[in-house]
Amino acid sequence: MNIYDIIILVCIAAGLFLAVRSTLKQKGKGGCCGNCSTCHQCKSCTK
Amino acid sequence: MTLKELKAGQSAVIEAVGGEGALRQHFLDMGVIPGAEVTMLKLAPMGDPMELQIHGYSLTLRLADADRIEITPLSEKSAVAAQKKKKSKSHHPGLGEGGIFHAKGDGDPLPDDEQLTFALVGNQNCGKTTLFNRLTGSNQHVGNFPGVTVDRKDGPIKGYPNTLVTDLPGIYSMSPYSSEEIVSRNFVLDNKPRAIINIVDAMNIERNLYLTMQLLEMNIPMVVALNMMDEVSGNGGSVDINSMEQLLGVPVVPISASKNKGVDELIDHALHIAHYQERPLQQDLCDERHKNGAVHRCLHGIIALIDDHAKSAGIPVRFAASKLVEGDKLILRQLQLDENEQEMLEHIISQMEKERGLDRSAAVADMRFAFIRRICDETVIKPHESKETIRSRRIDKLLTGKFTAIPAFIAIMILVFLLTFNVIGAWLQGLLENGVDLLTKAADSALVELGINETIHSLVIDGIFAGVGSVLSFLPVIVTLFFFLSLLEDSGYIARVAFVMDKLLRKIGLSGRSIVPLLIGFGCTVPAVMSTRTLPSERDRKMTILLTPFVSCTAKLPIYAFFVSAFFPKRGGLIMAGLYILGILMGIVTALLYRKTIFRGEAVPFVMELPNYRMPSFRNVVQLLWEKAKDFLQRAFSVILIATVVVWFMQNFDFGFNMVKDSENSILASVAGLLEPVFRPVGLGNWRIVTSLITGFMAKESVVSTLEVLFGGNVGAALTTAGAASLLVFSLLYTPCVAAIAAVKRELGKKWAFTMVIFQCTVAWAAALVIKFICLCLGVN
Repeated sequence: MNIYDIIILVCIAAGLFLAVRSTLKQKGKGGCCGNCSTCHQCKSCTK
Repeated sequence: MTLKELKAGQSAVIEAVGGEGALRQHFLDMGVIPGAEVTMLKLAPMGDPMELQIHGYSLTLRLADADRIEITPLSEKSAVAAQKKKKSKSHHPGLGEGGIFHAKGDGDPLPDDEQLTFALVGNQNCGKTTLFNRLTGSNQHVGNFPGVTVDRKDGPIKGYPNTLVTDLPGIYSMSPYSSEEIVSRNFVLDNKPRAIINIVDAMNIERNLYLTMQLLEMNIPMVVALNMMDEVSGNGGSVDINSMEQLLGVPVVPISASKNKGVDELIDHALHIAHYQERPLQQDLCDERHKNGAVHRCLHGIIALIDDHAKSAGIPVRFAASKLVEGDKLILRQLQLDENEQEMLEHIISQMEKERGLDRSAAVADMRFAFIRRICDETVIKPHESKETIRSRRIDKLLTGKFTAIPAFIAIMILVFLLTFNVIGAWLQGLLENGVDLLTKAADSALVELGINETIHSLVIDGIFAGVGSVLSFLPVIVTLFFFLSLLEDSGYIARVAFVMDKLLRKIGLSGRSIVPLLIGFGCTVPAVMSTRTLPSERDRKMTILLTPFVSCTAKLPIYAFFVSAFFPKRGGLIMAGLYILGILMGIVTALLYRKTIFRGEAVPFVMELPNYRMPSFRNVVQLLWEKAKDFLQRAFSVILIATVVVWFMQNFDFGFNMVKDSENSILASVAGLLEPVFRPVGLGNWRIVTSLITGFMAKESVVSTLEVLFGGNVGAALTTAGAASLLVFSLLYTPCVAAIAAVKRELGKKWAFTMVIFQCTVAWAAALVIKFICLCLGVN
């Protein structure tokens, strides 16, 4: 593994982390701030 | 005599409105009240529903519902005579001028740093979206109202960052009939916006003011934006703004949202009333001289009775009283009246019904329309039949004509599909694919040059670039399709399509509006599922979404083409057409099954306004396209990115997490091997075929490419003709791709999305088995 491998892996990991967070946010879990009455940022807000 | 028996061109006066519950209330809210004059315009090409003219607008109604409305036919003479009224002339502001309602600078102002929140409320087709775009520019946030899939848009007014306008769905009343109405009502009651901007279509002023009456009862600072005033004055009409302000007790601003006239004055008034919290002066809308004042006495009696309960529940007392008379159970529950009070309430209402000679809901609707009639008599000179109405009627002769409606519809849909999937969309898709290819090649060579590890190289190129890139290539098609659909929707044609197709779709338990998502499904399931948001009923929406996978999308075409050319070269057209027809037939059978089981009952009543044809606003269309594109991109880089990486991992690694050289040893192949016995009875017992079907779960296009790779171009030797036939049927009906499932999950939730996947796979398996059996019976092997 060279330095570029590590940089790319870190980038992919960061991308996956953001994707998972965004997916969870869309599900109204994890990323939900809990303040649904004024927020509505997550598209499946059910509260 | 009932409304159903009225002939085209005949007019009548409504005597009684039958039916019960929310539907009846909806009729009343739409202006179908005793005493209203109605003219029958025409029947839909299939003989049902009917189009009526009432309070100056076009309304559609099914014959079964029309049969519940009793009428007395009207001679033409009396109808014309009733329209002639003289107006006194007075000085009042014109379009783009401020009114004189306010003694500005008074009241109890809010602190300067407090955010001014506004609810933008209005009927459907009154230019609400255009006004919202004018008010906020491009600075909007799109989300959901809590708990329901009703779109919510917020944004600050341009130039006033400490404001927030919320665009509420287009509604006709504050009754809890549709989820939009409930959402709007709850928003105003619970979120307590600092002020309401009520947009009113001045060309349809009577029906639009019905909602205004209910908003006034909310006792929240309000400004009325009289939209389309340019059309009113252009067609010889006029509104005495000052008199209307006095009668309504709120500022009224004449505007033309589409021409951006009067919007600045509207903003000034809105900011003023919100900052100084100027509440409506007029809330007592029940005239004590009207019909012995029975409704007036009833409402005031109830107000006295429930005052303390309304205060503690935080509901405006006047609004609560009129809703109680209408029999609104949600308000009754919120007020928590005790037994004595409930009994007294019932006595007061029963006495009113007896004195007024109308039932409770009709009496309240009549009270509101009587007030509106008084306002209109005193302040409005109605425009003569507008150019837009005359033009609409001419266009309708072709587009909803008895013999021309369906051919015109088919022609328009073919044109939209040709342009989307063959010309514009396909061209843009090609461009994007080339762009993605170039980028992939550049990234590939860059990775090689940097001496990147083979596994990471494969993850980036074969996994992320190939997976996300292939899904991304759908973007131009989706954007182009939505471009044409928004043109059709904004022009008023989609409402006509629903009118024309309603009878046909009712046979399978859906209403006319479901035709649009189902047709889009022939292109792509993702926008089809997304477009169901326009359907008014939750039941219809769910059922339509669950039926879209039966409509064969374009991504399945390469699979059909591949197998047809390999196994049925002489009967290509026949097999292709047969597959499409089979999909539709299976959809119909499933719809009938749903209707008898999980979606019992009838489709929603078809009480809908037919707006005039209008030139769609370029700005609105561009804004909508941007929202759809953003939404799709967000998804492509979240759910689809994760799924791509997971599938790449399963394709390239074994259970010991070692990278495999031959995909036969991969996790995916092992999983496919497990599923192989399931597919053996339908003639598809080969791990390579199963693997290709699994990759089709990511994107249907990859079924063919996977088969090519795994079989090394010799798939013909591995399958029999009967196997190919059952594979074709299985591909037609099995689970839609992950992008479509994600769309379903977003609209209906995880449970429905999962159920749909299982159901589609089961149906596909059973159908493939039947096809294999038929082939064997016919001696095809």
